[in-house]
Amino acid sequence: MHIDVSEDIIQQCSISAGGVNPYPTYLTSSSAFLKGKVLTKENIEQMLELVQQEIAPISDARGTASYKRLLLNQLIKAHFIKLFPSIEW
Amino acid sequence: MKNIDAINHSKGLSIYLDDIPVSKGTLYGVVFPSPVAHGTIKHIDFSKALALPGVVRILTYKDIPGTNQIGGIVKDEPLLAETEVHFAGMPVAFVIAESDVIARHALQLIEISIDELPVITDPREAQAKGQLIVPPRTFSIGNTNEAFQQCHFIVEGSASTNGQEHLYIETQGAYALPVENGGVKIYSSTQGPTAVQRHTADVLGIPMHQIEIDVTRLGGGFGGKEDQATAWSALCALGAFILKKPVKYSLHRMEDMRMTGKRNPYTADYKIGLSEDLKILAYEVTFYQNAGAAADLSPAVLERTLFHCTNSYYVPNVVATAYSCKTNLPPNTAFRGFGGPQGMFVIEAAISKAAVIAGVSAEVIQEKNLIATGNVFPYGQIADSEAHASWNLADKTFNISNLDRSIKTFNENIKYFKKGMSLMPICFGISFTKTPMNNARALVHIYSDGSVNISTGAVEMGQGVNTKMLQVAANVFSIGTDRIKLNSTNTFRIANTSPSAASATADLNGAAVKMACETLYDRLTATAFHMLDGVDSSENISIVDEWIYYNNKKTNIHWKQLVAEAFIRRVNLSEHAHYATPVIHFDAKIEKGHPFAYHVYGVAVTEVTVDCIRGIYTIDKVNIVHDFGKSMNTDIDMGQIEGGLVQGIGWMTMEEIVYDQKGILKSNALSTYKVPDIYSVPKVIDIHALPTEKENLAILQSKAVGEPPLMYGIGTYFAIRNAILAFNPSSPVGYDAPMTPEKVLMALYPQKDDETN
Repeated sequence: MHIDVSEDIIQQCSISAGGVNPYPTYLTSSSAFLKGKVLTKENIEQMLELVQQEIAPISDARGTASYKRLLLNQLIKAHFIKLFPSIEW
Repeated sequence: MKNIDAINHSKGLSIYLDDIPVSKGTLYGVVFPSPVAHGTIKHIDFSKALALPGVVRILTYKDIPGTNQIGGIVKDEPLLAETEVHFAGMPVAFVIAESDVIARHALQLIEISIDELPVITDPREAQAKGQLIVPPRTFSIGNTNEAFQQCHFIVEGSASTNGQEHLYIETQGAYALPVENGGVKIYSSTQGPTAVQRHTADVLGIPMHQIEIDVTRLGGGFGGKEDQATAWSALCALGAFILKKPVKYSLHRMEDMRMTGKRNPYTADYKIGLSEDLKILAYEVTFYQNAGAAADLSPAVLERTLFHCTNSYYVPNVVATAYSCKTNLPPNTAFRGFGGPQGMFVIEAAISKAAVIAGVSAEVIQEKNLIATGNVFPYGQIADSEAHASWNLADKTFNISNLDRSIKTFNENIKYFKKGMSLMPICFGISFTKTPMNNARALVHIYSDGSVNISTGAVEMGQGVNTKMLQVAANVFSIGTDRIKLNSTNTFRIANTSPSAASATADLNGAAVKMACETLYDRLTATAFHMLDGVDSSENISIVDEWIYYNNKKTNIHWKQLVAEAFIRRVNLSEHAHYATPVIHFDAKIEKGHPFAYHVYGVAVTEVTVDCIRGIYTIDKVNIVHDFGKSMNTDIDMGQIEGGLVQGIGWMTMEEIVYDQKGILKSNALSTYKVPDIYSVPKVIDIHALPTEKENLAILQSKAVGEPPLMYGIGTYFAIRNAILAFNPSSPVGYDAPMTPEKVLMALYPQKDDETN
């Protein structure tokens, strides 16, 4: 994940994920959604909903599909928690 | 004393099965396994495989000259499938070729058609359909019905544990060589040389004295090679017997994982009742053991689950029933702890749940109910307990209430990380629960140059038993350890051995070594009597640090001179001794007796931190008070505790065996089956010995240490569970091990339509 924020406006955001599609995927819509948006909890949560639409994990020996969905959600969220501690979750 | 194998292990000089130089003309075998879990074989076509250059022969059950049977406790396990297959991975044929590459290539060319039958993987389903390996067993004491009337708190629930791959570093394997007069010599990676000998003799239809089994060492066994080393040896022997050529089979890791059984998964229902002052008055539990497709050792594992169903607690009223359920999975088998851990997990779950209802922490209930000396176990043995002593020393050494407070403070202040702690007391009985197995023999030769050679029935598998045997002999003779050598374990030197298992190997074989050495010692001091002037009795002659002493005064006679003199005087310098554990007995008709020579006690205090964003966790610290008796080798015993603990943590946390509904193993490689590595072991392991002067039946008072520490790992499960609840007090997290990062995350953030645990 790459994110470029200037004065609370997201200039650029790029997110890619592995293990949730047949091949590692650049999450085009989710990344595009944040561009130009204000850095708020609500916007991030909307983006996280888009993420769920861009992935199609399967259940296998490495984990269930629902776990992979939740985990990706949490991993992206973890970036915002770490980078932008002022956001109240 | 350092493990005698330490230097060779470090240099890569130790000999395992695959290091044995192969004889000219050696052929290589590989098993063709059933691709499905249950079905009737309609047709097999070997023609393309046989046409492959380098393929020598493909053996099926029709080639077996004796009986097609390798079942130990129950005769329910064919060596090679006949008309039906009962699990995916069941050996159907044995391909023998000039190289293992060719043999494995030939496997791809075999065509098989099987009419598939319904597959059962769930033990409860098997039990409901009457698919049992042996009749159920029940241990009971007191009257639970009456006792529940007196209870203030009654809690019911279920708890489950999954299986575990043994994951010995050295996979299963054997190398069989034909010898004259129709016999076979087999190098086998087995914990049970006699079992291999017995079953191979049956398969070949020849007497046991024609089958020599030799074991130098194993690269790990953990119970996986107690019964399950037999098939590969018998198949290689069959090939060698028929083709009159050496045949070797060393399993590929994925073959091993697919074809061999694992720790028995269990699921159980319990009901526990406590008085208002938190004394456990009654406990009822029903275990459903997933045995797999054949008995293997599961009936014995089941028995030990019942023995340890109350762990280290005194419960006056108990009814514990256990079903060994037949499913279409590879036959599950012995694994360090042997059913004990599965039994203990359930009562720990029951206490954990009862603690919530009673509004206390689990430690309060645990401490109040520790078994005391004089209390009776449900199977009738009276405890000689170290449970309170271990707990009290742990409390004093590790200051449990302080730890509890510091964890609460941490959890109040840190949002996305939560700590959890647990206490895990253990009580593990030492002896084979099948009393007749508690015997061993040792053969000790003193050569005319003063060097000593020892053979026992013990199999060295990394646990350091040979080092302990050497120490026993050095201790009796009072000579340097460099004068003593341990031989391979060989059925022609030591007959009718029990497997190296049940933590009892050093006790049983060590006692036999001690007896043999003491007899030889007496012969030598009697010889010294003739060598000393002015001595009226051999009674005051002793050997101290290789010198002969008379009346505690050093003489000028050295060990080497004494042995040389004994040789000249035609004194017998060899001794074969037999030891059988005294005291123990058990009557399975009434399920009562005194089955264990003694119990090993201890307590683990575990502290973990859960990353509540990601669901991953670290094990910060495991503090242990352990009842060693008087450890004869603290290097080895500490290693056993660390290894056992980490293996137990793996079983409870990250190791997850996955079969699909058709009984096909999905976690079939190290990429999908995760075992603890250096990053996932506890950051700190602090082990304290419980000082004790009590007499016990252990070798040199040094209590067995192989299995008991595995159960300290159960504490990690409950510590992680407590951390989850610190983050999400309403989490529906149940009692279903292992606690994988997946289960943790799902329990932290329960999904609406998702079962979390």
